[in-house]
Amino acid sequence: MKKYKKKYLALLDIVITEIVSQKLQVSLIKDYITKNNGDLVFYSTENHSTFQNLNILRHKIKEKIKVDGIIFYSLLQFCYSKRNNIHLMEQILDKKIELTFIRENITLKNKLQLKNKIIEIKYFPKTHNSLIYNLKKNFLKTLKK
Amino acid sequence: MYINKELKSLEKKGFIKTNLDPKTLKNFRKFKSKIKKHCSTMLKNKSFSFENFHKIPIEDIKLNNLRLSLIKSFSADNNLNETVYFSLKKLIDACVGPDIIVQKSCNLVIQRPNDINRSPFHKDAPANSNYEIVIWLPLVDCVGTMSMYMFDVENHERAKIFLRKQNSEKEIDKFCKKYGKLLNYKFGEVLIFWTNNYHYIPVNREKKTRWSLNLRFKNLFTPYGTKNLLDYYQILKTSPLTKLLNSIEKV
Repeated sequence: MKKYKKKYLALLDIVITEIVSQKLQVSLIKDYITKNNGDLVFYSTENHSTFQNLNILRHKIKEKIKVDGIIFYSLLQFCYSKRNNIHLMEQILDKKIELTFIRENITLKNKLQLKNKIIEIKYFPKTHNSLIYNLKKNFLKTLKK
Repeated sequence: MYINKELKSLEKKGFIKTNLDPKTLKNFRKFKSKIKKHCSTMLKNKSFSFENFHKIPIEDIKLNNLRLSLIKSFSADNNLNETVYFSLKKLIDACVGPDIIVQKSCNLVIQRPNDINRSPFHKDAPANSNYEIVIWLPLVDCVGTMSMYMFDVENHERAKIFLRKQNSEKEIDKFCKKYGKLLNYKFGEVLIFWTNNYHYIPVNREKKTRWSLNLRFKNLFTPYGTKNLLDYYQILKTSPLTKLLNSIEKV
């Protein structure tokens, strides 16, 4: 019997692109998917107006996308807004869609796994404060050009 | 009292040689047996021994794959980080405080006799945090060049100036012999050092292979280097106050 292949949506980090190019992010994500015997069905990215509120991701979730998992380049993508986006993670997991963060090598398959990592996820933006600030500053400079 | 003496020594030199808690030694022996079993299976060698590992013909790439697969196998098992912590709890707590984070995956180094592939003369900070300690834990008895040179904090400036020059292997060896300390370690003894301490791994000129682990601990709230929470560290324990704050902070 043919083994079921998981389908993934990749959501690239637009803010970090100048350092980690989209091509490299895709390559790293594909590498993860290959190792996990899955298929990348689609990839997308936020833009200058949505990178903080993750509206493109929110829209995808509302669209009822048929994927088993969403792969992000980094957990940083959930930290560009002052508001914590943990609630959004819960919404995605409620839909039985797993979350993977390549840079941090973390996969959350359900809300229990999220709960077990919650302290680290909550402290992640605090401990990455200056990196997030500088990445955002660098990203937003392109708007001034 | 014993701990205070060790802490004073650490404060003065930036490193100490100490013992794992004897009560936890059996856990480390168990851990060693697991590695041995893993190696025996992977290498299809029933008489595998750590010290005689170099007698097994294995290419550098395969050696690295074996090393990575071992790291992966014990990274999946959080017990190792905890075992190291509980074995040195008093010292680690005194150095980094109550909110402790630990390197996500423990490093394993396999140094065969006359193998020139090794880390250069360096210190871990500032790439790693200045507020961090490293536990170097040999899995075999390490004598002579199976060990590593450590530099007292008082030799910090001297090493810094020396490393500004282009030095030959011979010059580095000579410098390290003069100013560094090369201590012998038995299995069950560990080296604890500050990330700002210079250290140098000589070519292993003994007749046995060196197997060692290294693992880093720091406080959740102290400044970070280039490595950070979740990409490099995970929380090991938090203080009652942090737990309280965490329980009332909005998600």
